[in-house]
Amino acid sequence: MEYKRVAITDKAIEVLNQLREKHGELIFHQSGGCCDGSAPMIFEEGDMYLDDSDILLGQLDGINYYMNQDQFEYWKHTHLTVDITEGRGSSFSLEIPLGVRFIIRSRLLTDQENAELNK
Amino acid sequence: MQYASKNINPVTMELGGKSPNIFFNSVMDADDAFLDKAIEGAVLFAFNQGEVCTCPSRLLVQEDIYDAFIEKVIARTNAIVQTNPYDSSCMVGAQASNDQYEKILAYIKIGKEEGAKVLTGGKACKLDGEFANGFYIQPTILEGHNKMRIFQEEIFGPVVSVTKFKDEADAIAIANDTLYGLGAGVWTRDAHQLYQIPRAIKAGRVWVNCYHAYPAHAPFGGYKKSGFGRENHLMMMNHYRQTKNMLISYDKNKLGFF
Repeated sequence: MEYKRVAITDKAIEVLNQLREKHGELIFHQSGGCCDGSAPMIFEEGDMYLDDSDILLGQLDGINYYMNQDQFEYWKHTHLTVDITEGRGSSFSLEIPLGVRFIIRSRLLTDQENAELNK
Repeated sequence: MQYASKNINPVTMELGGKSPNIFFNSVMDADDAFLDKAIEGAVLFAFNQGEVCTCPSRLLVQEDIYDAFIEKVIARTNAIVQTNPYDSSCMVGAQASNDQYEKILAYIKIGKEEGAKVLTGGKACKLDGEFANGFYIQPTILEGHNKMRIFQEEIFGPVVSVTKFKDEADAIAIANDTLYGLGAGVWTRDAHQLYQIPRAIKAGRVWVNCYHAYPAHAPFGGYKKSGFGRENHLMMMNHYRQTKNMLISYDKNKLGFF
């Protein structure tokens, strides 16, 4: 069985589709500190410069999900699900003008997942 | 910042934090006004409506006073009144947005999954009447260890993560085990600690026997992922100025080479 670090809810995929139609290719980048705190941010591909300090956690409906290496060290024992909630955030993430906000719901990796993903 | 670099525009950055608020055992040497002040200082985490960069969100308490001190912090936290924000008895209002409200609850959940113990709060606060749908969160104290995500990420709500430390070295190690370094608090009656501990903490502002004071002229900014550069103090003018060097020759004669 293939284990994954990230997942997305159907409701969040609906918003992804809306954004894809408008903006084209997208990426997720997990924000660390500041202003909007620990929120998943979605940008047009190429808008944010990525480098080898960004870790690819997986793909959500074909969209790459990145996180900074340093932050990953503190997060890697958890599984993340991107969900959507009502409320207008204040970041530059592309869903903000729609009056909704991507949020992360986390759970601990199971022992099996942990053994597989963090070996 | 990436776009500023493209045009070589100078920038300073002030980002987030996961600021430690450290209480040494001497705060409980007497049951006096200072202890009262220290307890209040520990509970200042509760003032967070959805974004406070310097929120004292990690509470570090020396192990020999831990139980007695935390008991007082819990009692003070439980005395916080959440009600109609127009009511002058209201101490802590609602979160700024639904997404913040949801995010805080999600963090409390992962904190519990990671094994953190809820010492008080841990839930949404349900008010009646016209505030029934308000984004109120109970001031929450979670007990755990510094590697947990609730100790490492900004939650931006009335939530504090508490742990204990053995001695000065341990306090400094825990305080600095974070990606950030914006603020910190040190509480002690010991004059040596009062000078030495703040110097060892990698944070741009360390409050000693106080917290959340922001005088207009005091340099403000962070270490590590809390940013770079400082604001407010006179020194910050250098971020915005050019330094010009003029070399004027008074000599009419040539160098003498050719």
